[in-house]
Amino acid sequence: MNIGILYSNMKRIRSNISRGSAEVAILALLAEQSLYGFEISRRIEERSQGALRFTLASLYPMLYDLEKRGLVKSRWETNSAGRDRRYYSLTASGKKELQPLRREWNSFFQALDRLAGVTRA
Amino acid sequence: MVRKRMGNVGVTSAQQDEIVAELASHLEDLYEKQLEGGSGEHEAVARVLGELTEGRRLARNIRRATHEEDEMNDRTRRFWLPGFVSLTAANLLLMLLQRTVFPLSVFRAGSVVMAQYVPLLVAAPLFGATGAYLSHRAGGGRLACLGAGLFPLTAMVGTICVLALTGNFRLAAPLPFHFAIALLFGVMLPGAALLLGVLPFLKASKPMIPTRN
Repeated sequence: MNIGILYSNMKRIRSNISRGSAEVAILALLAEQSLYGFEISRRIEERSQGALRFTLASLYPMLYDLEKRGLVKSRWETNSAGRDRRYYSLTASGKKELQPLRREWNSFFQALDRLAGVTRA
Repeated sequence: MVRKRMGNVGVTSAQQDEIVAELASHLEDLYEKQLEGGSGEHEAVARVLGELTEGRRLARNIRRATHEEDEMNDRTRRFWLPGFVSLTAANLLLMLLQRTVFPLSVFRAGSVVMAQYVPLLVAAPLFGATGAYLSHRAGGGRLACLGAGLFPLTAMVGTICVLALTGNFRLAAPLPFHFAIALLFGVMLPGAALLLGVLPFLKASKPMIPTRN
């Protein structure tokens, strides 16, 4: 097989996995409570012990995309310090979407575990 | 600084302001977090600036996130539709002029005779403005407004190209001269007139992200 194509496919697969996992992480977090961008990023980094880290260029486009797809909605709020922040929360569609996503990722990791023993590594 | 690094992401200025405000707020939080975490000021600033080194990628990703699905529809709404409305209006007026009262004004340059509808030329800024306005209203940026406003020229350019290719500039003067005259009076002059109508709309920008509640 052409190495270039293989590499390109691997990159695409990795990118899709990365994007999918980031989406499910955001949706799962917003299922608990409404959060603003920085807090989403901070909590994901903290809970994943630094394994998942967002940059501006990855977090906000993803939030706008989720909003466009109707999975999250946003509203601006001013905090006690007078700072405006855009809070994101899960919509009914987002809640509905999250359940099958969780199942899919669970199946994916179980399959990967059977294949490569990744969770025991 | 956020605005400068990110550039235009193809949304309305109000929506761009919201995005910039949101990103700036994120960077302020990041800066404070760095200081709280024991970083020095220089280190904190460097960390914040590090986020902005991906300004182009950020703008591209935001543009993609907000536009991708509707790209074709947007192009239709912001360019093709206003352009064809402008072109149709110009052609309808031309047809009306040919069949009704306005006389054909004739321009002579040596042996070359060019027919030019002065009323059509006078009305051209209105057609340019119509195309640009419709594009602007649909959220078209500068390029879309310009393209939609100047769209009636495509008919003239097409006609001149066909005439040139088929050798139908059958007049006494040499072909390049006829071609230049045709370009001047068939494209450049109407183009300038259309542009007059387009100019007020060239500061346009496009909406996409939901506005602040």
